[in-house]
Amino acid sequence: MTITALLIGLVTGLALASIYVLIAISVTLVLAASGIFNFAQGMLVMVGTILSFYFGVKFGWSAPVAVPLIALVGVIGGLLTYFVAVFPAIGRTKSFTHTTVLTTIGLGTAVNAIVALLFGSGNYNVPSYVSDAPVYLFSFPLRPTYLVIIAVGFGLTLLIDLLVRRTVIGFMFRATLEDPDGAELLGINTRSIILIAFGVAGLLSALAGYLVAPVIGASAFSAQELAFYGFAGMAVGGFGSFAGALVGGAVVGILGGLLPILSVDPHLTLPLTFVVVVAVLVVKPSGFWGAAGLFGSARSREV
Amino acid sequence: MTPAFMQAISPALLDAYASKRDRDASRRLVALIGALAFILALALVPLVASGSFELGRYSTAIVYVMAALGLDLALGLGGELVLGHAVIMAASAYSAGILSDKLGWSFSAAFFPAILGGVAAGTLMMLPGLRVRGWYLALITLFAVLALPHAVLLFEPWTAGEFGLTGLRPVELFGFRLRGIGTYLLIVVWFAIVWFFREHLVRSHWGYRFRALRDLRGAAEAVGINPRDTRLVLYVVTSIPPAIGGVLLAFSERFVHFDSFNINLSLLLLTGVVLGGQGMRWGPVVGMMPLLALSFWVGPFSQLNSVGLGAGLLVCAVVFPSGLVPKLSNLLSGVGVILAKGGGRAALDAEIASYANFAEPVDSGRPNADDLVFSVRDVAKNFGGMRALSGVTLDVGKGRLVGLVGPNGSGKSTFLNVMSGFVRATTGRVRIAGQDVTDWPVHTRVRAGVGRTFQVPQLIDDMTALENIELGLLAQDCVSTFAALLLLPGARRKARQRELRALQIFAQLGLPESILDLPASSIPLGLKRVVEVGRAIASDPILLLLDEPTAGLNDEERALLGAVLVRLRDGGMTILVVEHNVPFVLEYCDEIVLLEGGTISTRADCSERLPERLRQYLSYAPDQAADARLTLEPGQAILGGPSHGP
Repeated sequence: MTITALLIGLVTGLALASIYVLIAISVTLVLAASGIFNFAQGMLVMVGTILSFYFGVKFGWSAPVAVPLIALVGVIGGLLTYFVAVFPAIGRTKSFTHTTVLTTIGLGTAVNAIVALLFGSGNYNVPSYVSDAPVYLFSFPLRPTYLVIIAVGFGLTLLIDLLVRRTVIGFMFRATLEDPDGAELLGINTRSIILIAFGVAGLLSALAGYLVAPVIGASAFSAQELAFYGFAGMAVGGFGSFAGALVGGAVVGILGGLLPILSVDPHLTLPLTFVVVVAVLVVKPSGFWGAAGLFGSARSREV
Repeated sequence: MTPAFMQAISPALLDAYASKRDRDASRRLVALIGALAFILALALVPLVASGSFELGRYSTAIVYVMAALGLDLALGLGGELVLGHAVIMAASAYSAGILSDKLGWSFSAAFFPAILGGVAAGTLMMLPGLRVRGWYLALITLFAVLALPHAVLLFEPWTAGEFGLTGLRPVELFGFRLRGIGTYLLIVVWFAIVWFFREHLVRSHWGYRFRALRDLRGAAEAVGINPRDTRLVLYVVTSIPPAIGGVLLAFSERFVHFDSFNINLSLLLLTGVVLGGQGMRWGPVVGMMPLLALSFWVGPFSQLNSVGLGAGLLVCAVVFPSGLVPKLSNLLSGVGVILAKGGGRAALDAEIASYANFAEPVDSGRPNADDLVFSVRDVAKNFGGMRALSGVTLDVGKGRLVGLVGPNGSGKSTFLNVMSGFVRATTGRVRIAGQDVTDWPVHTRVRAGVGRTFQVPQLIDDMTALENIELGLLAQDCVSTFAALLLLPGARRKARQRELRALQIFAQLGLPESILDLPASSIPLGLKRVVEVGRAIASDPILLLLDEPTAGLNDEERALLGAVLVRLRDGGMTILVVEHNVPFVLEYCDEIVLLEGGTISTRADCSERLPERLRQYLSYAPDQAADARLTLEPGQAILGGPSHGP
């Protein structure tokens, strides 16, 4: 194994990590705002990959056209998730958590299967949004796609972090996390905060799908495992902290990027990730960088 | 003739109880007849099924329902969101495959070890559930399903990877080789075994414990339930049916491949259980039926299956969360009446007479607490920077009824939690009956004789008032699991006696017979509180801790509860009651302890004139000032009085 191989593995890992981080942050935003773990988040990543195939290959649209459209579809998808799987369950059942787990799993399964019926179960290649000719960094060949993924992924993460920390919406968001009833009394419309969280999460997931499409291709099934790696990153890093999502996503991503380089059986990645997640949770259920409160709020939600 | 120990129970209550028993018996009879008819129908399927292919599909369907029965134990009874039952089936199927194909074991030799393999895998997979709850566990177990194919491919020399194991030995029983119909009937027999295993488990003390974990959450410990051990048992028993199913599937198809145990199988089981009704006897059967029919119709590999599963799960969870079975059983409720059997009061009286005097208290081996029931030394408790208790020292002897009063936020509930073990004291020691229990967990303290109730009553929603009281008896009563599962006569007799003992407590508390057979979720709040007191005294504690027991009670119920507490005290129980109702405290308590700002500021005997500080505190309400013990000296200011907490 050479330094080159190691570096390539590292860059691949970081690219995967950026995708995982985007998915982890989507899930965390929704979880923080509403207490719902959205099992259907992977569905929007899948939609992102499929749309990038249609827009890019079938219609031949360029990125400046395709990206805003995919982002819009992501937002709508996120809002629909809320109105189909969450809103009808409010006040109807004994355990809201229990019910939303079931409804989001149900929604994700049904939509995945419908897409598979319409799109077929094949996996289609999607050309990259940048040239595939390697760029050289100190004579190490690097795939430009990966560099774009890393730049956009981490850029979006920092942007969301800034939004939550510095803007009025961010303050309202954090007030809602701290005490939903109290925020309501302050005149904050918590329902709209939850809707914003679902919308932004949808946007991030769909863009993650667009970004990763040239790497994994477009198919009705490819995003499923991806979403679980995202969850794994979140579980390792700790829910409700951007630092946790970044570090956890990076750990899981780099694990996935380096294992094949180390000439280990590629099938080891998922079981090994699973074992790592279980080990972390058994030792420290809040994850390594997670705090009791989400995004620095003092109150902890029951997870 | 009614023996003396049952004479406290009014004839009206005995009548109500007798008819409840008859109703229960007829319900069970209907269920038994239904189950036998269903199993018989399954056994007759080969008469109409054409060919071995169709029979194979029925075999698979039965195995799936069997696995769903197992999933329901975790989901419906235990309230655990476990979604990895496909992994359990795969683990036992691969165990069977490896033992039979690679090691050449025969069917009978490999059968039970393979089940063990599945149960072990399932328990390991669910182990994180001891630390994390809810959707977290759902996520981890789903993750396991996704990781399974990769794990199988990693161990290709043993699992034959993509090709699957094909060399399983034929099904042979006592030297006879079973073919199509024989194997099918074997699966039906195992289905029947699993069915009655579940039935008995639900009725056994484990059924009570699992439901206590589901509905009582933290409070389950206050009933003497060790949550960790109970969860482990739950994980084992929920793994048994899918493990049996996996082995049967492996041997009936003589082929094991990971594709048969993918995420769709897990979702099929989940949707089946939810659709039918979680925790219902017929839930998995009723819920799986439309899904299996769909799969028969469109073929097992069609995406339409997944569309149906997903849509079914989504719609069912929102539109009828309790499932199809409650809807159907409303239609069928008339049938039970026709089949009602039972001897009414006469049979009940005869049975009671036969018990002579079972109610003699058993020697529980508890330490003798003649002098000090509890002794608290310098207990302090900090929550972050908040000092809830700062140096509480209190000794209370046997047979005392002590009222703990104080303004909101003075640390009363924290003190109760430190006593019962829900909160660990930051410093200081707690001794109960001479033993230092400071570091004991809640459930161990319960067995040492500490009972308690909660501000918000914690009852098992779908069990009756009587069954909730019985839960308290389980802490001291140990029937072996084995006897309970087989419904051995001894275990049955004990269960009956337990119910009668619960009825005694029910009568003693003056609970109305109208709530005897109501699920706890439809009992009024005030009475829930009394039921909870009943559960606490059922375990025969030496120290009873009550958190605002009279909130929500009317005057009559309050007087009844007071009389019960006095009687318990006269029987030697020590009772510590946190209470805001001043007349109640003054009328029934032997002494009053005033907690202010985390310390005991005053302690006084109620038979004498109360010290000034306590008088000032208690005489806040004008109508209570009439009590001679409370009259203030002229010119005294009234301090901040007792506020009425939630």
